[in-house]
Amino acid sequence: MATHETELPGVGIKYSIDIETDEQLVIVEHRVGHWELARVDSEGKTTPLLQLQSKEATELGRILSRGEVTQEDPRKRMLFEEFGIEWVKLEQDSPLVGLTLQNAEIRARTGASVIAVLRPEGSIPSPAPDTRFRAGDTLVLIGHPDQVERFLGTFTNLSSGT
Amino acid sequence: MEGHLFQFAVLFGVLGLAAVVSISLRLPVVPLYIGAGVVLGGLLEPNDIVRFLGSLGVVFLLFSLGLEFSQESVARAPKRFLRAGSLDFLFNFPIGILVGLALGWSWIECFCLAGVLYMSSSAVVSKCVVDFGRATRPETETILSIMVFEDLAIAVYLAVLNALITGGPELTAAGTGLQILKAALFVLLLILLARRYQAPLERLISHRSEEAFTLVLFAFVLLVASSAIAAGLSEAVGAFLAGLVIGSTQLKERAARTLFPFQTLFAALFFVSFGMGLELRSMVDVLVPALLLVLIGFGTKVLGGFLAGRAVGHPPYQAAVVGLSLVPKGEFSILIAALAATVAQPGSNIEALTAVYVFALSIIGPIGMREADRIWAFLATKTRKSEA
Repeated sequence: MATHETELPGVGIKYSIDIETDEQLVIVEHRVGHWELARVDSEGKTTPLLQLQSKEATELGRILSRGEVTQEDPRKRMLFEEFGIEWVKLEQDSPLVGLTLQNAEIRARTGASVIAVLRPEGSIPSPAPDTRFRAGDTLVLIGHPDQVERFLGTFTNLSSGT
Repeated sequence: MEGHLFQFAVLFGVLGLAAVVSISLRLPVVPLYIGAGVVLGGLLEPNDIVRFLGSLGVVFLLFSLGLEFSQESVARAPKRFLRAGSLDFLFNFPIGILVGLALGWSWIECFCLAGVLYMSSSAVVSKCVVDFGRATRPETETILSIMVFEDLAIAVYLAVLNALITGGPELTAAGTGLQILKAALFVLLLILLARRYQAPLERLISHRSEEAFTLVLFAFVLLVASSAIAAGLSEAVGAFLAGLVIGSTQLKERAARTLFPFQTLFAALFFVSFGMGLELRSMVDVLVPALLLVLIGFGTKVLGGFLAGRAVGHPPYQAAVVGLSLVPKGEFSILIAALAATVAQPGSNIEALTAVYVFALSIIGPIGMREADRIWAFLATKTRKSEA
């Protein structure tokens, strides 16, 4: 299986997935936000399958990815080429609860940095060293995947593979 | 004052109506703007304000062309871009020169006609792609890369055309060489400055306030456009370059969103004032040569597109769709005609000729694209019958 990505100037981005039986599944993300799906056979004959609004496409994606990323999920991530930004919710039992950013030594112990703390009553971007973590906080971390993994292993029970 | 206000009320009212009609007929809007201008031309005098705002429309059209110019698609599919794009050029540009020479026109007029016949409109084509649900088809990538090639060609063409026009009829090799050198220096300097100072430029223009952003962006576009004139290029080319510069920054989407309403207003005024300058009679006079031109233009576009499609590996059916899709014509032919009118000999009537040409092709072109499947099926049964 191979996926190709091409730009359609002025229209959007086209993804084609080679599927069995010499066909391609073509997905076009229109710049204006909607999605278009079509099946293209080996001779290039195109059968339009579906048009989706942005929200519907997100829902379809969630189901197809077996719900690995949901709003309720305690862990959410955004991957760039070499690093990621990770949202991690602190449970009551996390060793971080009660510590300040300075005392926790997250950077020194894991390599990942906390770039924001999200709280219902007001989020803190670039938290100061004396910011104290509470249960229910969502930390926004930046780092290489292994640094984030180290963080998850050290401070939460959310490490991947579980 | 009330006079001007009323004139603009009438102008925008009629243009709005034209836009509504074009949407319900699913046809490009430009010919309808021009048609509205021809009708209004009998009633209203186009004044300097309309003309000036219209020239801003040209600046914004070219700015958004530069903004949307896909450097990525040039880098990612260089073969398709170059091979298909140059076949499209070779089939459609020289033919205009030949026709012009046959009509006994001057070199500049021939060069203009070549541009009129060659330039399609990437905006119209990509809109048709979306409207007709073609985005997922394999040949669409080729069609759109050819349009990217044409967009680049428009900028280069306008620079050369401007050099020819300002050079006057007695063009000397040395004078033209100097012009080209000056223009090349300007482009190089601008690109180097934009590369070197991209971050400060972004910071300067991008402001959280929508108000400040809009004003500074306007100032930037107009500054580059006017310094392009000083460098011997046209404001249109300057605006294209300004678009390229902004298009390679983070501000691309925001700039497009902010300038779109202004582009819509001013470009509509450009087309309507072009129409107001035309006389119905002169259009009737050129009807026969213009329709011949339509046949030639349609034929070479379809053939050139077909061969371009074959050259990058599409089967005949897809290549035929490429050919039919390249036909839709639009704003750039009109822009060239407006420039050509400043240097044309009295007898050549290039404005009226182009108007009729654009009119006819912007109706035939999209219909041809929409019905490409049926046209191909029809041709296929014909050939099968003749073989049997």
